[in-house]
Amino acid sequence: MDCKLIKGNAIRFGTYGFERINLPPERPDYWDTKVKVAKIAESTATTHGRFGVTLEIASPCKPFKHKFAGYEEVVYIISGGPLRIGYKGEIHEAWPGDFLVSPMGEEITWEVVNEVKYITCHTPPVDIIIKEREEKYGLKK
Amino acid sequence: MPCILVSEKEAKKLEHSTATGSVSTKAFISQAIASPVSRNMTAGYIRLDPGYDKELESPVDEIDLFLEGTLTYVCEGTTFTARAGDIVFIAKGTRVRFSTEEGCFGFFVTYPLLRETVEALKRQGKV
Repeated sequence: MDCKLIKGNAIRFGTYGFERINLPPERPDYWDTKVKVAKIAESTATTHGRFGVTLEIASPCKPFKHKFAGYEEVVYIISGGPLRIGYKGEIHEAWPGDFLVSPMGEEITWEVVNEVKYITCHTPPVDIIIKEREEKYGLKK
Repeated sequence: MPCILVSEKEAKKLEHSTATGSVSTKAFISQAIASPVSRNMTAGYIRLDPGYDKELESPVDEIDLFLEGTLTYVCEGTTFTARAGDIVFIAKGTRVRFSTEEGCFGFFVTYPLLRETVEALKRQGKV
């Protein structure tokens, strides 16, 4: 059992291994945004290892396709943006205070108009997603 | 299942919380993201009014991001107060006492789904 306070002014951002999972654009889970990441809860935070949380700052980028191949994500926009999400021909603009859910298996377009800070909750957690991608694509650590 | 965007305005439609199995007059939440949009997580806003004071065992894993006010946690002998900008992670099964003198407002996400978990516990007579 655990109950943990993460002070806002003590949060530090890094790359968290995202730099290792740069995939070619033909891959469905290609990712093309520079993201600074702070770990809040990894797979070890829970007994089941299926829930994780990160705080992220994404740099502006042009729209690119991304498929949520093996995970589901809930995003809450804290500041900046907008984040433009395209889904089945419609463009949704997410601004601070908005929520977004991207279920498993769905393909979207992702565009950051201005730098955006958000908290994102994943199942499975990001450390598991990165490990699975490294194994799937044979990426070097 | 679609990719869903819920606007801040829509997400801030708060209701009395039944998250602990009974209506609290000082706790309000919205379940902006819930089943069937998400199969796994519930997310929304939470507001606790001044004077809220309750001890409970968390039925889910939970993350809270504070936007306004303060909330004091007493958990397994440790006491801390969360303020705007702070994040608190609570693992499922952790017994916590929550109290706030001035009230607080923030964002939360639970894993797994909150409503379904509480309803299952009610059926089992555990809440």
